[in-house]
Amino acid sequence: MTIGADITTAGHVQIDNVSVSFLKSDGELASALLPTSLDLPPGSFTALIGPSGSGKSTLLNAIAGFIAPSSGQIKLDGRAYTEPSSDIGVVFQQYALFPWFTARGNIEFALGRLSLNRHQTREKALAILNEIGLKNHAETYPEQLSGGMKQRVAIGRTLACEPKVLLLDEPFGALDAQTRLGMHAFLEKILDAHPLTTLLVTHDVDEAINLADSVCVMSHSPGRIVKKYNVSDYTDYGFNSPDATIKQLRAEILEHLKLDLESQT
Amino acid sequence: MSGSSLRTESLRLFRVFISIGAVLIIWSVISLVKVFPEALFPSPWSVAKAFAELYRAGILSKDFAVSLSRAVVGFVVGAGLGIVIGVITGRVYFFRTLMHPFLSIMRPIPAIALAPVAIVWFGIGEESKYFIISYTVFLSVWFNTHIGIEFVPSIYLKVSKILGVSKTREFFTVILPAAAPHISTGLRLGASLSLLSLVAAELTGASSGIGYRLQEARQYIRTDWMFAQLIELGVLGALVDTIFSRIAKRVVHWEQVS
Repeated sequence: MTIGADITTAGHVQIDNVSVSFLKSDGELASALLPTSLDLPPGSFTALIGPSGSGKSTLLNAIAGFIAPSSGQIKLDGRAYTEPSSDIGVVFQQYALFPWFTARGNIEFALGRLSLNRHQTREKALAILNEIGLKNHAETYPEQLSGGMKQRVAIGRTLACEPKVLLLDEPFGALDAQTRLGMHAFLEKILDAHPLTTLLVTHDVDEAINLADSVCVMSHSPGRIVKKYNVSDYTDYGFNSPDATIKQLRAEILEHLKLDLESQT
Repeated sequence: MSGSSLRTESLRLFRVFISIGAVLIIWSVISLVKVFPEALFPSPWSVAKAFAELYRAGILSKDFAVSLSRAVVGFVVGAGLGIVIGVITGRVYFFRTLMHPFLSIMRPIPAIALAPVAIVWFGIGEESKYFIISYTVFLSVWFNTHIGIEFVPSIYLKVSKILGVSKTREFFTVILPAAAPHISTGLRLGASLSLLSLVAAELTGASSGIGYRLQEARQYIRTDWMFAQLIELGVLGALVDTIFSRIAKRVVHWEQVS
């Protein structure tokens, strides 16, 4: 049994001139995200990178439906929405597992909306745990799992809902470098099997380049997308060494972030 | 029980005995050198004799049973109301704003201050005691339940929303478990407070119970009886707290409850 949606034609996210503002305590209107447009084709993997306060998470929260845009609109498969739905799965940096449920319980919680009986729910949860490599930890509580294991359960729980879109909000930010590399391989394996439209918010340039098809760089607060890089433009670079071109992409993104930082100060 | 947990438990008991032993030794020394007159500060052996005297007369067990039953009834009523009202004020903004000022005014009023009102309203029977105890328990349980329910981590609610969980299921499987550590703290505090308010209730207009017996001992200037009753009350309090702590450790197992 596999997890997640297998419909590669679904999950087209269109962000059209979306901005987010909020009222400060002194009554002034502050802008968290300037009008931003972005197209996430079905099955694509996009990374959002930028300095703190650039509005990366604000944009992700708006796509998730947690924040209503102040202007513009977000569409999923052509339909505008402003509320969270199970078509869009979110994985958070802090795992957000329910500590009162075991690993299996957390996944069964997500399966609750599907019309399955108790036996089917249990079987499906165990199949998901098997796929994420944690079948032997089915009855383990989150506090007894390592950071990487917790994030695997969180990803499994999100995919159990069979979403069309997967939003990853700095999912590996709390992990050590070695575990993070393992999680990259794990995520690639999962997305190979289930090509969901994926948006990754990260601070890590290498992570963005290694995982995503395209990398969007955001400017400092209030942020907007200022540059989009297609990773394939650098890796499919004819006879040039792929390593050299990836290095070039990395250098370009870092230079962009550096220039942005300098203009801020 | 595994070897290491048996060792930890034995060590804990050993420390308890050392602590009690040290207090008894200091108490005995103070009594032997007669720092205070015996009538005001009885020796440990006088208190032990008083224990035996009260036990033989059946007073000790009768008072214990009467006081415990009052505390249990008051606790159940107060805790039940506290949880229900706490859930309502924690969840529904309208009720929160409506009831918060009223409940905030009630919170600083000590149980003893309610005794005259309780006697006028309910007489000197059991009802006035139940009222005083349940009032104190209610405030503790309401406040903690309210805080627990109102401040459920927003990330849990986000997950619940994104997974398309119904409101009812969200309440029972996310909000209540997330608030459970606070509710459990409220219940534990409420249980201790039920004993405090029990004495306040029994000091005014009672004919039995630990509080009443303390008052009676004061009239006869029997400090040895007083000490015996106070120790009985302390043991009852420690017992109740231990029971609640153990239950909380099992029910709210993901939280470290000391």
